[in-house]
Amino acid sequence: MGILDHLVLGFGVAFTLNNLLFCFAGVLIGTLIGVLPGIGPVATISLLLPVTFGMNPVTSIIMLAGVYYGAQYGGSTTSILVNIPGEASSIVTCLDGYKMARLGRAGPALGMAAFGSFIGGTFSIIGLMLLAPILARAALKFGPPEYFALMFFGLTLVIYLCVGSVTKGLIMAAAGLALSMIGQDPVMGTTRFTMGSITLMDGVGLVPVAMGVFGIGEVLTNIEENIKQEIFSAKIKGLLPTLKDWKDSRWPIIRGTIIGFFMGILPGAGVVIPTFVSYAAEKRFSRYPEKFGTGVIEGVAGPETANNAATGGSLVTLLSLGIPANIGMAVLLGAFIIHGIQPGPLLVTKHPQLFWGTIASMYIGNVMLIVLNLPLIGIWIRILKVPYNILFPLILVFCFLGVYSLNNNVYEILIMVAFGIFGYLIRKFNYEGAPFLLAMVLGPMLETAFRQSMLYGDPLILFKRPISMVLLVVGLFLIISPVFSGIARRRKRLEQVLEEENR
Amino acid sequence: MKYSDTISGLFWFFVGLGLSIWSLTYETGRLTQPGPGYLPLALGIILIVLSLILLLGQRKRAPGKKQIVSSSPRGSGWKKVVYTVLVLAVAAFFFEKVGYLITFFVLIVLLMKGAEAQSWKRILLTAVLATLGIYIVFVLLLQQPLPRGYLGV
Repeated sequence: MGILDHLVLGFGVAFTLNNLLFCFAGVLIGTLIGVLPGIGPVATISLLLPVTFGMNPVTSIIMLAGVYYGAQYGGSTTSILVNIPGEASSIVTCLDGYKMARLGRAGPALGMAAFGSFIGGTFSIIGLMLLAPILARAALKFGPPEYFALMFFGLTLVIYLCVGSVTKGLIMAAAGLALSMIGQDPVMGTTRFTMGSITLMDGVGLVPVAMGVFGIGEVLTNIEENIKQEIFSAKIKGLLPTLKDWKDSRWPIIRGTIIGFFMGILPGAGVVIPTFVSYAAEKRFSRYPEKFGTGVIEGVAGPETANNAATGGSLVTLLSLGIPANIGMAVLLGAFIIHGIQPGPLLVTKHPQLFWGTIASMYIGNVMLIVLNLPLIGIWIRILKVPYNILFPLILVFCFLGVYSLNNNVYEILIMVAFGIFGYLIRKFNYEGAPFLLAMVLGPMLETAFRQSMLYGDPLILFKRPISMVLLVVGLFLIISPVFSGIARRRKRLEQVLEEENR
Repeated sequence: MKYSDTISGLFWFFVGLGLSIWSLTYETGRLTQPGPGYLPLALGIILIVLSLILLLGQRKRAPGKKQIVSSSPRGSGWKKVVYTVLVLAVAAFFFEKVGYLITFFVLIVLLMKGAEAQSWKRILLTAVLATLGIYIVFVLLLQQPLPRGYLGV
């Protein structure tokens, strides 16, 4: 069957009333939580997981994927109007988006963000559709050493891309891996570090930890700082960008699509980093880089396209290799497994309905999103006006409810609260949560791949196979290189100090 | 030297040490035949090394410089954090016995009361509406099994 036949199959699946309805619900919820600061797609997908237990797997994945890419749409609204990013992937949008709103151009900023998202989203689905099956076929030849190297590379990438200290990133990754060792050892089934607790037998659940670190931890940080929102209250007129806006945004959108998609594929890069790369690229390509940060539309169009394109990219790695490229994908992987489906090279051939149905639903979802975002912007603004004092208890109650209904286990609520404290503290001490969670997710897969690789009898096997060697060497370079650049920087500083003293 | 890095460095040092010792109670095996304790032990050692890098790196960088406490609590905000955590933990403890309706209602009231001075009208209205909303969406529509507790609904 060619791609066209597959697509026909996919649209046949996606166009059933039930799937359309849940796709709509997914993108609607996604936009909503994208608009609301303090609750993101990771916590939301976790919250909705138990709700999907009784559903057909295709329908649940369609809905949960909708939440994920919908959130990238909604995030920009808050950045532009309130200067608070609704999602981490919209941080960059604040720089020029909010300034545009201040200059009375909130409409075109919101409009261009929506159009850019639509274009980036749509093209990344095409990329996903073309690339995932090819990658899946190649991945059939992957053995444990290749899988180990790929996951190792993903982890080093997320550490490398962390803001701040590489040492702290490494500590977070090591701690996350250590956490994943709790429970039964994946190879021999020995129970480790459970202290006799039955809850811990299956390991520490991803959902309580993710909701704790990202949901509760975020709320705790916010209530301490007492965030006050100042909403841009001027009336928004004319959401349609002008012809000049389109001309200015043409290349940023194209570049944003490419940057977003290909960076999204890389395990570890997530959807946040591509937005920064896109912004930097636009600044470099621009004829007036000094104007960035004063409200130029390129600074909105590029990054907002990139974060949506990245969602398609990150699905490539999940659907074809079974490796979650970021935490959002990790939770989605959890959803697949709950429904008895193992994402990986065999997914495309074994579950074509699911694969092509989800892809087709994403085309439909993107159209729904642009319809939702443009005319309904007024409603999103009104929702933004809900004070945080009302919002945060609701977020906490939802986290509470979501974690409980997953396994009906009260201890998991306590685990969530404990990791909420952990999430709050790592923010205080300038650590990042992403390497921790990604390591925790990859831990069991990484350990299995490592131990199986070692069974080849040659510890150097990892460096003897070309693909794993390249990935490992690049990965090692990524974590070692900042050490050298750090030394160079320190040497420079020392020279400066010496010069000043000589003067 | 950043004071906060010293604290977190020490914390991770002891985590690494604890993990290494605990791992030794499991079979570690050898590199070509790693047992269940092999990777945990390696991770424990890696954590110790990394925490030492963090600790020593701080010491070397700026001798005699003023200590910067980046994690100092601003104002009384941290009290709210402790309060919120306690309320959540206590709510989890009573959840199954008391039931979701009462727990969520009381939880929202306590959380809102602790956050900032707000009118009782607003607090009670939010709590009633949110509890009702949860009942309609999660229990009636999605049929999630939640503990009914005293009210039996």
